[in-house]
Amino acid sequence: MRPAPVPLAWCNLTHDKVRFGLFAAGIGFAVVLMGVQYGIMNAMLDSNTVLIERLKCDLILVNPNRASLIFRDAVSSRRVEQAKGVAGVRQVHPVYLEYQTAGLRHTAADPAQRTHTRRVRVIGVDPAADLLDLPEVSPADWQRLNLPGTALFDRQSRPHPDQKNYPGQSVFGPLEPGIRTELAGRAITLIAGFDMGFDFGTDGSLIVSDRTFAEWVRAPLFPVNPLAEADLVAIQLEAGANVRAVQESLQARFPEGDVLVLTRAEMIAREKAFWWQNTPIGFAFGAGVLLGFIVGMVICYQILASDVADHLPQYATLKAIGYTNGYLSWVVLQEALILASAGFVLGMVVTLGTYRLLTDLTGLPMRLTPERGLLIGGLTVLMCAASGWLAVRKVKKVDPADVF
Amino acid sequence: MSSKLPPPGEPVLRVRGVNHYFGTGETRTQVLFDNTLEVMPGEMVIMSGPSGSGKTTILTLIGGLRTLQEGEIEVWDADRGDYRRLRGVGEDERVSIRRLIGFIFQRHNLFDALTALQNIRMAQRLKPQATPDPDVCAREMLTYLLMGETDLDGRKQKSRFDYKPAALSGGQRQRVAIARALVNRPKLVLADEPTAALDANSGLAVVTLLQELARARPEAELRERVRTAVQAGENGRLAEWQIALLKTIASEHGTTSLIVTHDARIMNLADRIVHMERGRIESNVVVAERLFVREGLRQSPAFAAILPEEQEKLADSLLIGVHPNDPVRPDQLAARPGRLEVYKPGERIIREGDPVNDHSKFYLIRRGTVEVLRETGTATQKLTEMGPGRYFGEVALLLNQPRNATVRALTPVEVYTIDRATFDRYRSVSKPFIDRVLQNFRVFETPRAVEGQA
Repeated sequence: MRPAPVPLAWCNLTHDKVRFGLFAAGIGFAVVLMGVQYGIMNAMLDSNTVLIERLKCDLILVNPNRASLIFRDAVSSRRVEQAKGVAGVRQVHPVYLEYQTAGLRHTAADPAQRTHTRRVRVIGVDPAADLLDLPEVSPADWQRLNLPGTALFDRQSRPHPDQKNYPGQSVFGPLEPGIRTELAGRAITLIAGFDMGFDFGTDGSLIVSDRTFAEWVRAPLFPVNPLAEADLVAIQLEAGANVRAVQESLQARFPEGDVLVLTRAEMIAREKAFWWQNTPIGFAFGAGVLLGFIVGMVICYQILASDVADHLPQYATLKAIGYTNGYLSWVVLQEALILASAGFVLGMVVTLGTYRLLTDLTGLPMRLTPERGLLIGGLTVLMCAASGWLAVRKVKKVDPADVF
Repeated sequence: MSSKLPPPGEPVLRVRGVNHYFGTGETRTQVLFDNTLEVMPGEMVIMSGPSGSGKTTILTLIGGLRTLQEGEIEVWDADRGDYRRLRGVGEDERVSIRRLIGFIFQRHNLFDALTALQNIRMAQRLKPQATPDPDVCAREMLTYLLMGETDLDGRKQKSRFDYKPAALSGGQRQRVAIARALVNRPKLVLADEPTAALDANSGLAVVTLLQELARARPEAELRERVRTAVQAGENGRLAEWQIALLKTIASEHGTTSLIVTHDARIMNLADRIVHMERGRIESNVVVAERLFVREGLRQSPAFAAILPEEQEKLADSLLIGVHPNDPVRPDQLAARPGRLEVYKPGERIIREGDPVNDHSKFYLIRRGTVEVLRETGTATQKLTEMGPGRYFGEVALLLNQPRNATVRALTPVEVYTIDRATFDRYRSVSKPFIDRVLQNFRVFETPRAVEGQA
């Protein structure tokens, strides 16, 4: 019968509480570096897909040339009608988007307070279609949106940079229900707010009815048939329909190649991929994560190597009395994993605090999903295990004959 | 768990022709030269010699801590009942051999982060334990080593079981390290200056424990070490209660220890003293044999008058390195030729009337019984029988006369022999004394005189 194991790795690390605290702080620092960099990267990518996430649909039709929402390429209205005929499809709704041509006049009532007119993203949907997942907007508000010249406004629009003098104001000026201003040169009334947020392409959004959209935004440019093209087409399926099967039959229905049928997740991934590939976000923040990883590895290696160096006679003694290299390696790896866990917990607490702070400061949607947390955790373990592996070589070299 | 001893007369540790080199290429230096050593079960072996003489190197080779380069080392594995060779084995095999051995290092090398009991547990983890609670064993041993709830004089003290090394004194740390080495009851203990950091009392406790682990000592012998502080002086003492505990801890015997030390208190208790110089084993003396031979020589008038140092030198030149209780193996005999002769029962060792020549010898009986016979006309008269420790053959050498009696082996007999040249050298030193004895002998040449000095 063998006696219970001695938690050597744990005892070695926690023997000196202050030192252990410093160790955990060191690893935690690396976790914060990785977590914050990764968080900002995700927030930047996430911000561009909020609209797609809020669309209540199973499939989306998009022009293949429209690599990102900010482009103009659209889907012909004929495709909307054609999609309705495909088996499994319950409802088809066009979604109209305008990024470039619609300016929102500064909303301040006093003309002296107004700054210049800014471009705003305008989203046109059928108010009756219940197409957008915006719990802040009541059915009555959707009802009122049918009135031409009304709009819902984004309470999370880019905040005014000078919050000291303009508290709570957006770059568009104060946004409150009942404010009257001009959209694309025509009078419009803000009736209710929703939360969506700004991104790379826009400072904020207005939601209007398809009719208002046609008259206010598109008619000046396309007077004959303002709604000839839809920017996105949201398709809701029959209950129990196989999404993949319908997606395939829809795609088969449009052999001309002017329409791409995507699930919402695919659409989100496509949008993110665009920003990832066409901006230095991925590189910059990926490098930040890598930097955190390397810093953490160096810190962890220093800790483990100094532990081995400090306990050289002890480890040599263990070897002399018959412990294998395998056992000693396992002790070092255990220490690496303990450091990883302690550093992760500490680092994640700070990271979450930083997320809150950044969201409050910048309005970026910093979110920590379980998968992302798992990724940071995985990176932390990998980081410590890698330095543990390096330190193991030191302990393997310990010569038991040196103890005599 | 069954633990077996090697076959009778076979050692637990066999070192043969071991050479060792440090460095490579130009800087390669030989540090051990053809070392051969056998250690019998239950021996306490002291290795002495100046620093740099290779004691520690040979200890690390025996312990499997270094790769054996040349020669052969075999360690008895009591669980397996076989020898384990250290030559040409891989790291795994050496690691498993190390587990057979209890190592006591000069430095304690305890983990600062672990308590005394946890440090000991590190060793216990390596071997299946007999008791369900291994800590009981460790506590007993620490208590015996004066770290428990009772001090030497039986007063209560705070036990140190759960202390970390930082809270222990240097000697206490060393005792924890010793407990760690001995807790698995190894059959071979390798120790480097184990008592250097210890006070006299705990040093004695450690050595007594090693002795008792080697073989059971009579209670009376141990009790001699229970004495007052004044009587003990610098030699240390044991407490009554320690002896009882000692008997519990060391219930298994047959442990051999190899101790490198300069501590004279330990040397007195050794069974075998191996002295090394410049990488060679210069002498390998079984203390009991040395005492036996010295005692035998001292009784002979031929050597009684020479200086004690000369006596010791002469005695040491006869030693064969085997305890006088054990028979000599032929290979041991061949290893040190000219020192010992072996006779079968009935064989004649000397014959009456043989002339004295350069090949005549003086004999000291090591084992067995001989009978002394003299021809009286037609009959053969048996004068006496002699056993171990008695000597014969010196009268003829002293008087330069033919042998005056026949000596025949009754049982298998082993006799130490001193040749005539050596005998005469010492004889000249003791001349005045011998002359007096001879005078005596010539005047009163009676059977009584023959009886003692055939």
